[in-house]
Amino acid sequence: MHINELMQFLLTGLTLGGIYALIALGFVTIYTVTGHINFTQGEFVMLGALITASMVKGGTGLWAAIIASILLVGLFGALFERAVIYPARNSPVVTVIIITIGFSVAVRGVALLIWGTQSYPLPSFSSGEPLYVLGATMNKQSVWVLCLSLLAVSLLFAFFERTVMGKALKACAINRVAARLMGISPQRMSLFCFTLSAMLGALAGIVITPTTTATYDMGLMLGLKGFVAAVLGGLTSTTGAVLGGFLLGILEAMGAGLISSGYKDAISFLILLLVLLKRPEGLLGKPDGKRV
Amino acid sequence: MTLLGVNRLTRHFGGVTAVNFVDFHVEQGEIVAIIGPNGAGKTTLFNLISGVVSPDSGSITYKGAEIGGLTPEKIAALGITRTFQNLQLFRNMSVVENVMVGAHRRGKKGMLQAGLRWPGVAAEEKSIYSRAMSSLELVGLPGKENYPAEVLPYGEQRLLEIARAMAMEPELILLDEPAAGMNQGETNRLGELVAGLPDMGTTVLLVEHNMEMVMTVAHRIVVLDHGSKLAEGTPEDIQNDAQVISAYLGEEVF
Repeated sequence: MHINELMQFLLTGLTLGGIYALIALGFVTIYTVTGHINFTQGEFVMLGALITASMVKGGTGLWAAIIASILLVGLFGALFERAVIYPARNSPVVTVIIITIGFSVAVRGVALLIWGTQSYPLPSFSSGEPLYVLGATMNKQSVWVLCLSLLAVSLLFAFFERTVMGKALKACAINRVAARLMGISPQRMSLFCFTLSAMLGALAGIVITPTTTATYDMGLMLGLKGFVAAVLGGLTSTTGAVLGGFLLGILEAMGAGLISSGYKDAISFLILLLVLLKRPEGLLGKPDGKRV
Repeated sequence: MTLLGVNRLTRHFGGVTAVNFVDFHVEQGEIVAIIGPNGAGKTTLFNLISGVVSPDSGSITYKGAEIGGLTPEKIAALGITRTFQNLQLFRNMSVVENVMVGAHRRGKKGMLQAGLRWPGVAAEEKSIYSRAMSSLELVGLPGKENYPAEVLPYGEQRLLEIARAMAMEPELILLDEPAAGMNQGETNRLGELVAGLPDMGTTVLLVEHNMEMVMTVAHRIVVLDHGSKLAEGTPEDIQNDAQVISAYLGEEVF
């Protein structure tokens, strides 16, 4: 085993991890503030990817298409919250989970009607020779993936820690009754979270498309991976979601490289099972802690 | 001007009538205390006024408009805030962050703008921070702003709740047993703080078991027993009311 090979797997893992982290953050943002697990998260990823790919195919500039797509998917997330989640806001958690699963199937179906089964490519964000890092190659798109996910994560952290809106969201997650008495409307926070999570998902889908291409059913697996990453991080912590994402990406890449690439997905779900059975509070969560 | 009017307010929980046909009103600038034995319906009354639970019948008016059954956030937006008997702080957040959440409503920019428009964010953040700090100063908690809220001693957590509520610059504050768990010195300081609130434009409705404090700060007292109003009057009236004494106060208190 060459150290170069390990380095290569690590780089691949970090790239994948950045994507998973973005999707996981979507899960965590919605869960902490509303208590819902939104399995439509993966479809936000798919929509972001396919809308961008279609727009670029239609002649729109790459960056314009990316921004337009993120905004459109954000709008879609907001409409989804108002039309689907809001009417069910007083239903049990399980009901809402099933609603989000059902809705994701419907979105996938509509995407199949619109885009068909073919895959849509997207050019790399920049051309040029791959970079060489300690004997491993890293293509330019991977650098973009890493940089954009880290940028998005830092902006999100700054938002939660440094802005009043972020504090209001945190407050709503920590103690909803007290937050309402401070004049914070949980319904507005919910709307905001779904919009934000949709935009994060779209970004994840867009940055991964130059490497994998976009298809109508890409959201299922990516959404589940993001969920595994979020659970790995404890579901309630943004830091946990990011670490969970990168950890999952690296484990997958190592497993694929060292064992067999056929086991890539199996590794993820084995990890999910292990975490749920042995440490359901996640790696960073406190046992028996209240949802915060 | 009558700020808060409560008329024939009733709320049942199962077979228990927690609040039964209660009438009283609070004038602007007053400090009104509600006293009564445990289970008299005091906290339910606060929950009804602040929108945590809805009335079964009767009305609650604020500046003449009906507020019974509105959501807590709507009632808060009208200028009514409260503290809790069992503390409801934002754990995992620092002392000043707790108060900043209370201060956010008075931000000139909407919350969404404050969150999203970056150039204005820093200035807005700063003004909310400074308002939070002056609220902490008001209750006597300076120098502790960066502590996690849950490490404060119990009495200081109560003060923090008051600071958070006052950061909303409310017109009416409901204080639910603010002196519980406080020692004599803390209770005296709390009494001075509460007595000064009307001068800052905040009317006070107070539930408190510490009779010394109630008799000192309250302008008027409403006595509840088993969900119904037993008596109402000035502290002197209440201290001399035989019915009240037998129901609740007991001779030994005075």
